[in-house]
Amino acid sequence: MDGVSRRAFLSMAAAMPAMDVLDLFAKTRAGEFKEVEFYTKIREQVQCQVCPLNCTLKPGETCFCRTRKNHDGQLLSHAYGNPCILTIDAIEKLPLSHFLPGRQTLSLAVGGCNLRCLYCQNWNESQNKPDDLKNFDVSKEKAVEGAAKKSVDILAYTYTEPVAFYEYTRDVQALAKERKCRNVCATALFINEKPLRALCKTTDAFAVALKGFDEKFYEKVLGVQLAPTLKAIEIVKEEKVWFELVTLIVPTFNDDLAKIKEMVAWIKKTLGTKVPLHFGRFIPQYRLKDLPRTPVETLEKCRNLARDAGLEHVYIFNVSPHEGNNTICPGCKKTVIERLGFKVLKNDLVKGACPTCKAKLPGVWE
Amino acid sequence: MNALMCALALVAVQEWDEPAGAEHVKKLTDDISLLNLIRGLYLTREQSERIIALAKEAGELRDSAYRKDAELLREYEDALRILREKLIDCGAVPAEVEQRAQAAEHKVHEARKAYLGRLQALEKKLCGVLTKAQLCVIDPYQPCLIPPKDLKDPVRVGQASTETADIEDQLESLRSMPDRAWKPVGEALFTIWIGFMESVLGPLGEKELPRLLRIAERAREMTDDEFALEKESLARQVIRPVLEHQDKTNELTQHFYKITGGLGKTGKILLNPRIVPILEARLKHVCEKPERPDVEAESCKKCGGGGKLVIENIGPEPKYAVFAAWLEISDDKTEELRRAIARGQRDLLITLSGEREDGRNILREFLQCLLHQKEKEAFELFTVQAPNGKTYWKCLEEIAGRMDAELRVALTEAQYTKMKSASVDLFKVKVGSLRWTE
Repeated sequence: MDGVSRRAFLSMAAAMPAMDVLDLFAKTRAGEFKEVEFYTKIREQVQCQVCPLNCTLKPGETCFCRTRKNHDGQLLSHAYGNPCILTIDAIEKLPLSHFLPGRQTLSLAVGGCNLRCLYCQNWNESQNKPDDLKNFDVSKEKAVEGAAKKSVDILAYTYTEPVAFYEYTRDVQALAKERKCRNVCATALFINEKPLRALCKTTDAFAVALKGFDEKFYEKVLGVQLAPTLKAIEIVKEEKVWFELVTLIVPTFNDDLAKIKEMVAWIKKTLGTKVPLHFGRFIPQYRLKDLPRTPVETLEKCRNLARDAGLEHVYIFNVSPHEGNNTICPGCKKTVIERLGFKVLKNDLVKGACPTCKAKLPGVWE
Repeated sequence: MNALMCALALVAVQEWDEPAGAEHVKKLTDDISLLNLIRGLYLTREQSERIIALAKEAGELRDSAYRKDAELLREYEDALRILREKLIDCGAVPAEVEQRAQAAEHKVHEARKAYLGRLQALEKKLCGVLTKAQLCVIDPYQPCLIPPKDLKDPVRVGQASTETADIEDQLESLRSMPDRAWKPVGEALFTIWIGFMESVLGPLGEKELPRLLRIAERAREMTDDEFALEKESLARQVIRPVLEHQDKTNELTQHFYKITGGLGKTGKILLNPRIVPILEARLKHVCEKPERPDVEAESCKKCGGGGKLVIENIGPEPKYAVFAAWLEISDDKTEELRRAIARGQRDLLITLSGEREDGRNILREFLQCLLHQKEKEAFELFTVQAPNGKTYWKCLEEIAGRMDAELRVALTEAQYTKMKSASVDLFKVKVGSLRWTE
């Protein structure tokens, strides 16, 4: 072993069991390019009209979401048929608590996002271009057939931002609808009216991330604006699609109870008292790794505040076991659905009604 | 699989004479395991206070039971001593002596039974303090120092009873290998897995290896998307003997508790006297309000551009990204370098797992040596002659040389010198975790 030290040998040898052999072959691009439905041409430039950013792009430029690119005057989505996440989840993971509890979803996510949340929990995927990720080649047919093979009849567009992979979402949803499957989206709803109304036609439920109630917070922490999101939520209500609101409470950024009170008042006035609201625990991620987790007491204070203001279904997620995971009948105050993490331990509802006082709970139960 | 490895490690540890201080370490690790569970239960203040009261009551009960037991044991010992003497005397043993010994034994037994009965009543009260969901967290709990994160079951607070993630990764690796390489590598890998399983479960028979190879073959035949949806089920098939063993053990344990009237898991953990100071300390602890970090999200001032590599944003799987950031490798060079490193790793693997006339599988032997920390033997394996007549070490040197030449072309002079001066081990650069963002 001329010229090689034993230390050098062992150093190399130790690396072998951990060797990554997944990338041994040339990376081929999964999926296809798909022309974006909502955009206009301005000479050789294009303007994307999917989200309120309305990016204007010269040839070769890419939208802020990293998924749509101007190809010589044609706006093409690079987030089509190439999910980086393909997995089976519980519907509770979205989170959705009033939409077919206990059922499973086939979850899809393509890289990219039109937000820049400093605390993104899936930033590895959302803050990357789809072309830079390891992707699956999953046509709309394959996605729906994959769900059928696993005996799953709900498709979830989640983890990253379905608005960023809007074109793929729409096409898979349409086919899923044809095959009697349901569609659910976890989204920040930072989207323009026209594409949203089109999306509502094929979506059965939204888990909407209303991330705070302060324009400054939206700009500083998410890089976008709050007003379009509020407008979009009102449109979803108008379109009569089931939705639940999700607010992740980030210590020092959006845990001010006065602001939460304002948000709850807006929800009550604009959306009513029956819309479920989930307060989520922040877990240090991405660029806010130095912050601690949200104290459970803070989440409990938010929940109590919302309940005292009259909201009927207020949940706590990312903390389990907790009483705030359960569904409580607003009539007789009995626990009708008991949960642990993403599992449903007990579901007493009978066709969406409380077995004790017969009160009908809002949601989609069958 | 982790659980099996821990079981093996325990067996190995028992062969040591514990050095001084080991007891303190054991106490600390026990406390940490307990804290992991307590944190995961999200006890309310009222629950904590009631558990403290019950644990104190259990402690007092235990102390008084031990005192009583010691007293009764002394009586029993006296009775036994007299009985022994009478038996040595070779004469007839008086009935009252036998009866006294029997009665003393009965008293000990009854006192212990009564103590257990009172403890069980406390455990029943304890279960009433906890919610059904909290009891569901305790049920599968296995003590663990640093519990692995589990995205599928985020409420798990201890060791994973059966973790499939590692097996899924290994199956994924086998899928990516060329036809000529996967089988010997798979055989090597599965032989080790079987070794682990057999060390705990006993012999699994000769059919185990072909069964696992068939699973790997099925995994290889699947498309990527099929595998993504099926990998957990395949991994569970791989560890089927472990799962069956666990089911049987759980059943047995429950049956044992039923017939012996012992304490259940909840009582054993939460009526333990150690819980009192831990819960009291947690109740006293007040979290400090954190300061808001001075960071701001990027907003859409100018569209386009995509991600840029900034070292402070890299993680949690840095590997290649760190290498690239450190050497300031541009985006367009990344793919070229990534492939060069990957090619080198593949060649290394194929060389070591290649077929030999004598039937030896050098990779398998090598992995086994590493597993058993036999560095010297692992080192010697590379002096064996490969089928091409050169030693394996020579072959590996050639591969490293080829990689080096490719990198020399791809990198600038300054980058290459920097890399060489720091002796970066390119075989260790994990190419699969190419990650960067803004």
